[in-house]
Amino acid sequence: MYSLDPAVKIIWTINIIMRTLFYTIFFAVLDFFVIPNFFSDWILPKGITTLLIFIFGVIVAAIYPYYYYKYWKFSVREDEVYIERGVLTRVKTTAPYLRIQHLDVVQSVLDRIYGLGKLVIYTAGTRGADVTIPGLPIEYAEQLRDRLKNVTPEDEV
Amino acid sequence: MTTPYEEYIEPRKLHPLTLVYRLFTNLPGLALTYYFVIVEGQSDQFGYLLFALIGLLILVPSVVLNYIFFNFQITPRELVIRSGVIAKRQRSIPLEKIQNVNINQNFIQRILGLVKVSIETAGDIQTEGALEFVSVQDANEISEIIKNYKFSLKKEKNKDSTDVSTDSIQDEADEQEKSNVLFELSWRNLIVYGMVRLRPLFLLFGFWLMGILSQFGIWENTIDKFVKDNQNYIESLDVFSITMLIIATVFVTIFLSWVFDILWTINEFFKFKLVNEDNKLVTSYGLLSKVKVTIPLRKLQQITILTNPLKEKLNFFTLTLQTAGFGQKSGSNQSVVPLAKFDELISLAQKIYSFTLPEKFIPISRKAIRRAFVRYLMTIIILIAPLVYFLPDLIWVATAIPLLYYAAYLRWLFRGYAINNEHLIVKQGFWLRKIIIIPLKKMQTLHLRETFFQRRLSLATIYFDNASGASTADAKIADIDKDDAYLIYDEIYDYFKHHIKK
Repeated sequence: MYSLDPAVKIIWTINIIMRTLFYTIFFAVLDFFVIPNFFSDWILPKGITTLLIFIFGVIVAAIYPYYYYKYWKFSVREDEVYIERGVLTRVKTTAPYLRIQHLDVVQSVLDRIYGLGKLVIYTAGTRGADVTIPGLPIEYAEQLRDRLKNVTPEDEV
Repeated sequence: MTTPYEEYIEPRKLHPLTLVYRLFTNLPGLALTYYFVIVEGQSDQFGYLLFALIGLLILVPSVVLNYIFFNFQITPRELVIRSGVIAKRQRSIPLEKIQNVNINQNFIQRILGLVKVSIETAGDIQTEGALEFVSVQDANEISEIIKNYKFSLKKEKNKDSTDVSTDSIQDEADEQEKSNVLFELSWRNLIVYGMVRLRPLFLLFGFWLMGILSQFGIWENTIDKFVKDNQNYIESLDVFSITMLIIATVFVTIFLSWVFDILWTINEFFKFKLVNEDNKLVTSYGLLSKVKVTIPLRKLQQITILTNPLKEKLNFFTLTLQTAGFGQKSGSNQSVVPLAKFDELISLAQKIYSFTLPEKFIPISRKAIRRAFVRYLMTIIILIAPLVYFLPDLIWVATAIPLLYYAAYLRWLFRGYAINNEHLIVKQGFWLRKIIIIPLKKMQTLHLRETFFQRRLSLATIYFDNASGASTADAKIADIDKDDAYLIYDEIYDYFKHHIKK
C-alpha cells in the first residue's frame, strides 16, 4: 500500500481555508447586514455565528488533512487498483483494470504549484467517479495512466 | 419502382410539420414575457413588448434555420446526419454499429403524424443520433432498412465462416419472421395494475387537485378574505366537526390520488406488449404517448421484481430490467412485465435471463434496527422540534416514537441478501418491496463503506457498482456484520476475477 505525496496535505489545507473564508464572508453578510435589518429580535449576539464558523473552519483545516492523509492508501495490483480512504467514513474500493473505460490526469492550479496531479479512473459504473487518486507526483500520475492504459482491454459493458 | 432503400440515398429533410411542433413547444419559454405584456402590461407595456418581440425574432428564425440545415441520408454503409447553421456538424453512424432503432411519439406528435426516431449504438455518444421528426412511414422504412442491412450482414458472415450453416440461416430467417409475443397485458389486468400500484407520490397529485377544487368560489385568492367571509361559519364549528372535516378531506384526497394513479397507469401501459425479436426484447405501450422500446439483453445489468404489501397479498408482481447506458447516458430502467402472478412472472423472467431465486435470504445485522431507529428519531426531532417550540401541544407526537422503532424493525425484517450461482440477490423495502438479481460478472467497481456510526456497531455496507445507471441505491448490502462484509467483499471480487479471466 502506498501513501500519497505529503505535499497534498498543504493543498487540502489551503482548500479548506478558502472554503472557510467563503462561508465566513457569507455568514458575516448575514450577521451584520441581513439579520439586523430583518430580524430585530434575533437572540444570538452579533457576529457570534461568523466567529464560530471561522474557528470551526480553522480547526478542521489544522486537523483534517493530517488524518485524511494518514488514512489515504492505495495499491496498484496485478489486476486491480485498490483504494482505502476516509477519516470518519472509511471506504474501500476495488476497481479492476478490465472495467476501465478511460483515464484522465487532472491538475488544478494548486496541484501545478506543487507538481502534483490527480488520476481519475472512469468506468461504466454509476459510482465511477469515486475512483480518483489525488496527490500523485505528476510524472508518476502520467506514468501510471500510461501503464493502466496498456492493460485496459476493449471491453463491453 | 424504387425500393425504399434508394429513396434515402439522397439527403432528406425532416417532416415539415416539425416546424409547427417546434414553434409550439418553444412558446412556453416566451409565455412569461407575454404574460407581462398581455395581463400585467398597463404601465410598462413597451419594455415587455420589446422583450417579447426580441424573443420571437430570435426564436422563429432559429427554428426555421435549424430545420433548413438539418438533413439525413442513408448511404450503403452509413446513416449520415448533418446539422448546424453556423457550426456544421456531420454525424456518420455505420449501419452495422446500430443496436436499436427506437420509435417514440407523444400525444401532440401523434396528432401531427410525427415520429421521433432515435438511433442507439454500442459505442460512445458520438455515434448516436435522433431524427426529430419524420413521418410514420419514413420511420418504419428507416428501421426496416437498418434491420435488413444487419440481417444481410449476418448472412454474409455466416456464409464466410461455414458453408454447412445454410439451414440455420433459414431457421433464423423464419425466426425473424414470427417474432414471438412473451407477454401481453389484458384490459382487466391493466385496470387492476392501476388499482394496486398505490404510489405514495400520487398523493401529491391528490393535494394538487384538492388545491384546485378549493379555489373554486374563492377566486379572489386571499386567505384573509376567505376567513373574513366565513367567520361565522368557522366560529360555529366545534372540534368534532373540524375533525370530521379533516378526515373527510384526507379521505377525498387519497381517493382522488388513487383515481389519478389508475388513469395515469392506463395511459402509460395501454396495450402493453412484450415481444422477443432476434434476441432483443421489444416492449410497446401507451395511449396518449406511444412508446416502443428495444432492450438489448446483452446490456442487461440487473433484474428487479417489485411489489407492495397489497400487491403481494393478491400475488401480483412487476418485473423490470435495468440495462447499461450508452456512452455518457445513464442506464435505463424498463418495465417488461407490469403485472403477473409470481410463478408466471418467474418463468417469464427465466426465459429472458436464467437465474435461481434463493430459498432463504440471509438477514442483515439486527443492530441495523437500532441504527435505523436512531436515524428516524433524529430526522423526526429535527423536523418537529421547531414546531413543538412554537406549539407545545404538539408534544403528543412523541407518542409515535414506538412506531418509529417498529418501522425500523420492519425495515430490518424486509431486508436480506443471498449469493448463489453467479448472482447477488438483494431483498429490501417495506412499502416498495424489491428483489434485485444482480449478475456478479457485471461488476464495475466494488466498494465497502463503514461510516462513523457503523464502525461503532461494527457494521459495514457493500456497494456493488454496475452500469445500470438509475438504481445505484439498490445494488448494495446495507448494515451487515463487519466480518461478514469483509468476507463477502472478497468473495464477490474473487468470483468476478475468476469468471472474467476465463
